[in-house]
Amino acid sequence: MKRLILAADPDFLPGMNLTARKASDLLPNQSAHILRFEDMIIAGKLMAMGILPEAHIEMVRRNALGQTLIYRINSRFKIALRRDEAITIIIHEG
Amino acid sequence: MSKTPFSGEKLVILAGNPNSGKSTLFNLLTGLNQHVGNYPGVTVDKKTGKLKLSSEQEVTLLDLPGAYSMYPTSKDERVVVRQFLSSEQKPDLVVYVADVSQLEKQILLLTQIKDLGYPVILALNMVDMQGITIHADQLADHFNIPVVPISGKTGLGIMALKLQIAQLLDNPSEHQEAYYKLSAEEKDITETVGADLPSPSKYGKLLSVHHYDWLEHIHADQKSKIKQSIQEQGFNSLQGQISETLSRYSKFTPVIRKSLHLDAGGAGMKITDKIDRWIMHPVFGVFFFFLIMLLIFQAIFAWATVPMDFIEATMATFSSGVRNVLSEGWVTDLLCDGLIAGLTGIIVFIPQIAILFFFIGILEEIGYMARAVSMFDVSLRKIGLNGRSIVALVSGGACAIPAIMSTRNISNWKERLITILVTPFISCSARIPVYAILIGFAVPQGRIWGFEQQGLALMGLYSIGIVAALSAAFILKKIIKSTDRSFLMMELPIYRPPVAKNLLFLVYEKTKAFVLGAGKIILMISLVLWFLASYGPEDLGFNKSSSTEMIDTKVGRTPIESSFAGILGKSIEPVIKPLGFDWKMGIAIITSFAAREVFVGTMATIYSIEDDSDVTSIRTKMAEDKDPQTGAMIYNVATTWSLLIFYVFAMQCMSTLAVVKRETKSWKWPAIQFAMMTGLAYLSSFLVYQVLS
Repeated sequence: MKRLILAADPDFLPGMNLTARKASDLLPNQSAHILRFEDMIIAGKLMAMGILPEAHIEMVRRNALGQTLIYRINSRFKIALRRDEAITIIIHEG
Repeated sequence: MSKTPFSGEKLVILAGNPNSGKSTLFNLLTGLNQHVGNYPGVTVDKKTGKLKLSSEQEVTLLDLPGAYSMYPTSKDERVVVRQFLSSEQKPDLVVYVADVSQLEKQILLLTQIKDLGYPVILALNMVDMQGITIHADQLADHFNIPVVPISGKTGLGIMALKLQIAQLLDNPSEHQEAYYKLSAEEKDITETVGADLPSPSKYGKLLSVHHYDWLEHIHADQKSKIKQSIQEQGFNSLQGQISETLSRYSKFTPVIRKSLHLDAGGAGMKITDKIDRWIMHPVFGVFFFFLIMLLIFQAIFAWATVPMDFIEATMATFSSGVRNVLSEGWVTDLLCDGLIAGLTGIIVFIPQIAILFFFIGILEEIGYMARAVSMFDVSLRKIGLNGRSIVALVSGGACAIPAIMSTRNISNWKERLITILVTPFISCSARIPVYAILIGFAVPQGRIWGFEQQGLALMGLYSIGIVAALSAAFILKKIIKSTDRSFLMMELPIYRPPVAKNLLFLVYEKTKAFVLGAGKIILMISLVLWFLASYGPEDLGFNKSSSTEMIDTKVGRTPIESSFAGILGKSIEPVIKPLGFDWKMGIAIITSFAAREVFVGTMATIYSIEDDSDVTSIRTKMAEDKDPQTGAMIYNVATTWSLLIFYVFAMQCMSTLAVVKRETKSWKWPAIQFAMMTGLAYLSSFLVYQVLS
């Protein structure tokens, strides 16, 4: 899979932050904001479903031994993601 | 093939995201006046209906599958793009349905459709929900389209919507400015290749460049030209899609935030959270799912048997009535034993199909299905299935036919195909009579560790079926090639009460699809089987001299032994002998290809027992049957286990094959399924017999 960077912040340089936090790192009831997506196809689909950079993302629960993750987006709707889908969402606090 | 509306009649398309309430609105607008067809190339339901706008004006309404954008990621999702770009009849008007409580995320597709140049009406659904304040006029101003607040649940605003449709059809709005301005790069490429592309709008041309690879209306020479230009200009389709999406969002998001006020936690979100805490619990959630499935299962068994017995009894009465009226002869036999019996074989499945889809419909409507799918996604994906496959696998325990029909909403073709192929391994209700009649010959009555031995054996047979289904899925996952990427990314909508009308339409549709789609094939095969079992070479004038000593109880008709089926059964004896089967079992295997339970009826005929519901007599006769040469029991432990295992695995159901043909749109997959299942059955029975004997 070709990995391309999609940044919410245009000045963001790819590869600078190697310890970037991912949506899959959130624990239940923790929340953050989306910074960027690392997989273009997943990004396209997530964005069409209303999940964009800067969106508020809250982990609701982990199921199936942490392989299926449930998130609430912008306090409005819930979505189920596979772990390998959530791992492509880079988040930042605040 | 797709059904095209009458010439001159206008086409109105209903579009929107999944969970926008589109189908409810469609049912409300068209009523029973609807038709379900197929989009060419895929098995996605194409629902069309007649919408009466006034006493003299009627239009065709098409319910497009729910989609999030014009950038599909699976073959099934492509029908939406095709409908707008390459279908024969272009829409005259699009009604875009959006759930007002999720408005911000449901508007992207609206702006894309608008840029294709079609007149659009925005129907804001669920405005009757609490905690919502919406300024429809601000949205109408911004998008420059009519906006109609409606409620699919209460019918609010439907008249206004119809009036608006009629008005806009009469006076189509003048050419509108594009909502999304193409970037320099996008402009370059559409101008280079655009002249040859049929789409009238710039955005339509851009989408054709994005999707040229799979759009059938673009000719091969145009395709190579587009491909070349993409390479020369370095056009990046994915990057383009994302910047277009971002640009659209940044334009409409502020407007929606300004014109819509939602109370925090309103619109059913609080209740949904409370329910989800239990329903989606890692342990309790799975338990709850199987509890629901058990209840559905029970309902199918408990409720379906009553109408099924009624259908069989009524058809039998009808058949004997016909027999009394008509004189004896082959025409009467054809009517009664061929045609009426074949029709019974179709109609008898209706109760199971109706009940299963009624429950699946409820689970889907209230929003539970999405939860169930997300719970089973991980474990099932490992073996090549989809979270949604769990419904088919569990329902397969009742009957494979509705189970296979329920796979339609698995959008990944490979996962859907594997589900269809392995579901018939799960022991269905038709295997029970076969298991019941045979199991006593394999396992003596008695208890082991306090459990009934025969019950344990029965459980073993069911488990073997389940293991076979899951292993076959795992193997097929390695074999079948697919280009579609698999995703979960599934919205978990808020819980809502089911809409009765939607459920009724679903049940009606699925029943009709089965009767019309698979019925013809079932009827044809049952006529062939009837002919094979009722006639032999003697009836056709061959071997007149040869005499059969066996006398059938049904006087005047060819005994099954000397029928074509009998001859076939005898001639396959060398093939089935290594499995421990004799020619009688050979006949039963051939006739029970119609349906597994026919095994019992055939045994009754072979052993000349008039009433095939008299299982005890059949079992006694079978138990007494001895090999004429050695005097050994025919139904010994080895043969019986071999036969049981054969019925666990073998594809002995023409109706399932007919449904698989309908759902995969080719004879290839039912043929592969037959070879896989019956091949496995043969091998396993061979091994079982050789080991045990």
